[in-house]
Amino acid sequence: MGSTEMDGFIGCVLAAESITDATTILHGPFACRMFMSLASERYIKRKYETREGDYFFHFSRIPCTSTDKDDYIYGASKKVAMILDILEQDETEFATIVQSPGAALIGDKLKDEVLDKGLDRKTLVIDSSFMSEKFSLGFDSVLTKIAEKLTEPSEKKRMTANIIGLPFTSRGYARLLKEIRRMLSSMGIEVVAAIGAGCSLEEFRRSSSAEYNICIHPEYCRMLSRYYEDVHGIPAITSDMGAPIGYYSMKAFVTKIAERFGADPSIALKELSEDEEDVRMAMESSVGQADYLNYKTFSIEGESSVIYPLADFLIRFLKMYPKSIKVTESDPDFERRIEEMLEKIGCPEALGMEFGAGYTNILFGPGSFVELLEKQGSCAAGIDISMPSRDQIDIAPKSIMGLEGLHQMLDEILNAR
Amino acid sequence: MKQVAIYGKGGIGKSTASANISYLLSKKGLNVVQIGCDPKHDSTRLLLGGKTQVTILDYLGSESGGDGSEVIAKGKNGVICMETGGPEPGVGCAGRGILTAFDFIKEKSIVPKDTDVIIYDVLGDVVCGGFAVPLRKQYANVVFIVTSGEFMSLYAANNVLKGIRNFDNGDSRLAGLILNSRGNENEYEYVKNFADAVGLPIVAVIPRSKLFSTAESNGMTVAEMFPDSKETESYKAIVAAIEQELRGETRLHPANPLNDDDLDLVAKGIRVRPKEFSHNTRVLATTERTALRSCGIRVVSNCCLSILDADLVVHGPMSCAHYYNSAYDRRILNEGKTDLRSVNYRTFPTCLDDHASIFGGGKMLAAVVEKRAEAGTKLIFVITACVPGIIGDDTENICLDIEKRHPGTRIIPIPMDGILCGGGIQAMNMAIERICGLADPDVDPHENLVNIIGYAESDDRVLNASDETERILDAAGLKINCRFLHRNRSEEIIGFRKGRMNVLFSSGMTIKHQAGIVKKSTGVDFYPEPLPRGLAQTEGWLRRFAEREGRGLGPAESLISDMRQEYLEGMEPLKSRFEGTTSIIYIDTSSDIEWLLETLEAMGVKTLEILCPTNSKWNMSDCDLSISRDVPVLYDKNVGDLEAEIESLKPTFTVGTNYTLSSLKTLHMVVEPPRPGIKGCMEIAKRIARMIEVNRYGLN
Repeated sequence: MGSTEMDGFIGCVLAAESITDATTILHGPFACRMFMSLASERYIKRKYETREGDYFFHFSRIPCTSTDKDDYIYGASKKVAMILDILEQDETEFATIVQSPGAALIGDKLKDEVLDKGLDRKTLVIDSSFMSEKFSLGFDSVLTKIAEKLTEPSEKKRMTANIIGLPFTSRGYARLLKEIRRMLSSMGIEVVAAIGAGCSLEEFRRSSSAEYNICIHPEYCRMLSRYYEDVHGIPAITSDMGAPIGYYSMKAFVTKIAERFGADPSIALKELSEDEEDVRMAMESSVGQADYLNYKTFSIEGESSVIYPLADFLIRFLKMYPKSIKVTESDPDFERRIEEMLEKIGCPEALGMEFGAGYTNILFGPGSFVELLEKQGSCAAGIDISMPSRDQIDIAPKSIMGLEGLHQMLDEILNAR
Repeated sequence: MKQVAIYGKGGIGKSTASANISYLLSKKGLNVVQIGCDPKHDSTRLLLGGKTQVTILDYLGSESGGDGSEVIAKGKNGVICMETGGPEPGVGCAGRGILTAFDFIKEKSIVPKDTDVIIYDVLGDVVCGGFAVPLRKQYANVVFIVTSGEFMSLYAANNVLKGIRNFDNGDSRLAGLILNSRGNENEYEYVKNFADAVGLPIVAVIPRSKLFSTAESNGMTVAEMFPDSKETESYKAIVAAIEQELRGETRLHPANPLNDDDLDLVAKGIRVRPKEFSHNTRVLATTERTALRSCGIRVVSNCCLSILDADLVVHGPMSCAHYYNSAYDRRILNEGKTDLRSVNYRTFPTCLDDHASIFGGGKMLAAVVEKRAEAGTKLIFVITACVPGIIGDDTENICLDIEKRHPGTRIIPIPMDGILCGGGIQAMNMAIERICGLADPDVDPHENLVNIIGYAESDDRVLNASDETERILDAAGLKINCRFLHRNRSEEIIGFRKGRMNVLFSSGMTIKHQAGIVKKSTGVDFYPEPLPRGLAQTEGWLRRFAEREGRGLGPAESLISDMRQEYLEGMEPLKSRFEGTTSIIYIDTSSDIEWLLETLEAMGVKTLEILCPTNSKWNMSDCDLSISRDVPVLYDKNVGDLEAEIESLKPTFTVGTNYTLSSLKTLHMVVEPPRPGIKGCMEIAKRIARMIEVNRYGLN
């Protein structure tokens, strides 16, 4: 089987794009820019307007040097300098310059161009393209470098937190963030910045004042959380159950945060318990229907911090059984727990089994792929949890995390035939 | 701390000079680091008693999991020695290796903080951005160039000056030349002539001497083995210059290279006055017209994946494969073609990484292609991204070797190297040519069979359903042999020549290019008129086809009559509602526009003007718009110009096929060109009518 994963280069560019009022300059071919530019326009909330003229060419995001063969031979750092001139006129506050795999090979003197223009303070040059590395490596590295550039020591503000490890490529992240903010607020905790999920420069700068970093997926923020801990003394909170998926993991998430902050989780936990009761009642009262999936199979392709809580929920709450597990982004702790879980339930072989091969009742994976498999009759329902997605316009909650996401997911699972 | 770069032609004696300088500086009590920047990694050998050390790139490639200290060796007098290393000759990219090594040195902070001097010993000429890294402003403060009295050595020195000039824009970093004597006649005068011409001093003259080889064979520098020799003395002038620089006392010079003519005069021993160097400044491609805005990967992937029993190997970074992957499954879902295999089972990226970009990606490519062949795939396309093109992977021969080992498997390399072959059209041409190579030359044409070139399905299912290609061809007595590159099995391509001619699906320039290549590669000629859109074109096409074939209209007569009737019945009601409305059309110059003008006219809409956006030179379609009606056409107009025209002429709406239209704030519609026949045009007419009606409703 081939691969549909996004790599570190895409992660690197999208990390820089996650800051709402900063700019990313791509030194590379226009075609490399297209995908990222569209993803950024689609998923990060900004005022949308196309922009004509050199380097932008009718898109609003990621001005690009549009390198060609001659540029690869003779170098084209002057194009970057010209883009910097445009951004200066626009009073752009901060720019990250990234390089495509090909452009990174030729070694243009981009830092010298930045230094010559006196823009070192507000411009970050990323030397590596992170090509074919994990998406998380590019994403995490670039956000860490931006944090190094933007944050300064600051006095800690009690009962505040940053959200980290939630890339905006995570489907339905915006609605999920709203829910997390509401849940934290019920415990008296205020969010300073959601780093990597559409924060502003001002929020990023203030992030060093947070008391804790709340980590959603540790895979995407290893270096970033270490930076905040070492430089700003901000510890990271990672739930032992992983991402907040399903009742057990959501409760663990809330409880752990409350413990570390010394906050009262009762309102949030009550809401979760009541909801769980409602859902159980709905399932029990639909005699036979909800039992349909009992002891049927599921397969997941995703991050280890998603797989662990999701599989745990599907097994314990819905009585389903794992068939294939494919870890795309790994955290060693969660990967070990997944192995232990599969061992315990008697199917360690699921970890090496090809995702999507044969029939599986419910598939969780890249949106387009699982939907195609659903249409082809390889599963009863294909649930979109990662890119490449169908690229639909999401109005309803689409994350599988949080309570809203759980409802959405349960609807799809329980009604799948 | 001072950072000193020693540049010069390969084999000129840079490493010997660097090691002697490092040794002498360390004897003065200074903390010295020497970094060899040459793949052959022998810069520090004389400081290490003739031993070699672990290079940075070897360390990075070994995944040893150490802390990086493994790349540091302590040499004579405590000189810290490092070697960047690099790939074997003929593979990979040594320049990228230098870049990676410098990133590593910085990242790991392995240069001790109390270092007084770093000596960079840099390979030969400034051959690419990688070898110029030490010239970047965060590195060398002082540059020496080693030369001899041979022309090629001065040529290389002049190139180094050009490199420095590119970085410095007139700043001063050059300490001067080091003449490493070869013993040629009048060597000093020859080099002095060059030095004067470029405005640099000769800092030191190193004599030709057997003492160097004696010391080297003992794994030592001359300065160590023969400390009181005149050879050692000659290096002391360089050491003194560096010491002065450490005290902030020296005078550095700007780079002022010679142009080729002056360098030629110097080579002839003629004196040249120092003068301002000027080189031809390359015009950067940055405009709508000149900037390259497409990449072959997407277009060629599309061509290859349209052969349904083929696999595709994308030799390049994973992101290149992802761009296509992310769209392919979505497209077949949108088109409702859910019986097709997912791209996940058909596309196999080689996932080139940084290591491969330095040491070459040939082995990774061979492994992936071999695996597909072993899996039993009978047709494998291999396409290449920019990176293998830059590092020079030998894709064609790798594929050929594997093909030989797997009889019955066709492996077709399409080495367009991302953007290196040009844009999408240039890459597509290469792909079409290679794919046409599958066609069996011994197949005979059938009288009533034709191939359709450029057929493409839309994800607009209503428009798809309006396609009348077969209705028109039937009336002309023709059947389709192959819709070329539209969900074909490889047998269809093999039997391509059964079609007696090729009919172009539409008039777009891309399709015309395709047709030209197909004709050249298969010998099958194409019919001069593309499949028609709209009533007039369809009627004309059928009549002219019959004429060319030298026969009567036959069934086409009744089709023409039926179509006239259908068109009249469909369009007449619209005319009464939209008479008096006006439009501006925004459309690419290579597009067929007759169908749109006819449709608008039939609706009673007056077309005020046609604007065409700037044509990219990469599209290879520098023709004027071809129209038969009397409507003003304005060229090179982008959306800003269009907005101004709308403001001035105030049309009811703007319509066109160019996607940039969607950014307009005024009433507009981006339409997909209709399918052949009249029904597609009538559908578009209905949509325009709905747009106007909805807008009228909204305004009231």
